[in-house]
Amino acid sequence: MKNSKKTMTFNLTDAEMHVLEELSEQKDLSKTAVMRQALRLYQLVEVRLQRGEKLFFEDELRKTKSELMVL
Amino acid sequence: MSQRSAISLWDRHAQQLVPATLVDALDTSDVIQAALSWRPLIEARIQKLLADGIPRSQWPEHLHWDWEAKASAVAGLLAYQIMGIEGEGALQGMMLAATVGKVCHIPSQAGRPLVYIHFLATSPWNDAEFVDPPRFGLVGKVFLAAAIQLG
Repeated sequence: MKNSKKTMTFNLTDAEMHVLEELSEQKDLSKTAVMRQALRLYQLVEVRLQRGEKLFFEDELRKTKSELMVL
Repeated sequence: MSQRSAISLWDRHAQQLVPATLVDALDTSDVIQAALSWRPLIEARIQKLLADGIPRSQWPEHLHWDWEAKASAVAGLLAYQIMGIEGEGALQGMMLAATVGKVCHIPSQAGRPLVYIHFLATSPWNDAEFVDPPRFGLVGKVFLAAAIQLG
């Protein structure tokens, strides 16, 4: 069912729409493509967290590493 | 339902292009079936390498790829896609690509999402490492073009 497409409408706040438009411009992707990428990433992160893995951000210059908590 | 596209492979025996099909999302069962059909040639090659005393460090890397495990690991994840090429009633190659998690580094496309090919293998009967002469060519090129299109 990966390629049969469904259409849906959803509501975003001005702030959310602004972020979506900003990402769309930065990444040179359509808003749909940004949302699709976000969903792929969200699912991947969620599945790996459910397996007991952790997600970290690392700053090589400052030598810091912090765990990202996904709600 | 996966998407199927008409493509061509190079028939090395007939020395001509022949029609084949690119499948954009293989099911785990398709992958397992293909891996099983590849196994006899892979096993035979491993036995030959062992008999010839070739050190494992010099074996082709893809000999130990476990496609069944890979398919199970990414099943249901939108971030990954296993594509296949069908021809003559069999899978002629498989490619595991990721559509999130990697970004471009070249300055003109810096930060944009990148389709990353984790694994790409042609069927052993298309590989001169296993049979001489191999059956079909262009498998790798078709997959690379498909990955570019996916991006």
